[in-house]
Amino acid sequence: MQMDSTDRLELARFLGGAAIAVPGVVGLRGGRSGEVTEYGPGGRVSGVAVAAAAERLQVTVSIAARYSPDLDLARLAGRVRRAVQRVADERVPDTVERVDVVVVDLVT
Amino acid sequence: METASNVGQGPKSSDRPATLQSGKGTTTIADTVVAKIAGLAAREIDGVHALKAAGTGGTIADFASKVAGGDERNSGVSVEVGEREAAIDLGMTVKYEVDIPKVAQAVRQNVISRVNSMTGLSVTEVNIMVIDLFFPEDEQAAADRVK
Repeated sequence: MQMDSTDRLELARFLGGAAIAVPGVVGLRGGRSGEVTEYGPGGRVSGVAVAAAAERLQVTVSIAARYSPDLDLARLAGRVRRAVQRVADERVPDTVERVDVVVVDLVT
Repeated sequence: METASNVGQGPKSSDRPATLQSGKGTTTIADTVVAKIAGLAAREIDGVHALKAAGTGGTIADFASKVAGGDERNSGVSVEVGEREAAIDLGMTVKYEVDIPKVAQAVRQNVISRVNSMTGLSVTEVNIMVIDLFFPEDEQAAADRVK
């Protein structure tokens, strides 16, 4: 799957938006040195990386979660994964193969 | 960083919540997140005054973490996280006049249950080091001295 960096950046913006919209997600985190960050002309999206995996795309979303006594990170990550996959399927059908979710921080 | 990993359709998905199996991809929970959960769980127990790394090495580590902008909430907590299990070491100061073994046991139980319910990791051990006692009157005396 070939995508230029402008398309990738735009896709990353939509996918990041889908992740942030999930209740319990505080924000996206790109890592200290921007490991999980999509760069493109005129911008970047921290916390989302879109990588080519064979014919299709592999997305990594790196999030900070809000702490609560009934927190369930596995379930939260599942919700994020499905939300991101749904938006990906809307924008670029049959393109994103997998969505990896990394919980890098917890905010109290 | 490479922790609590679960490939949606991999062989290990059977012992993870069913919700994780829809869609494809892995879930990774960073060590710092596990450490924060453990620290918060320990502090919930009455009788625990503060979490603090033990010994000179710990003091240096805490200082280095402060200088480097690390999270203070993780001081005194070190975790070792595998794919499905975690081992946790805690250093803490407790309030004077508490039953230390009872407080330690309560901390251990709360850490195990919180980490397990929040991350799905099973906690194999919680090693607790009580490194000091806290006397509430000390704080008062110090406050009086520097009026």
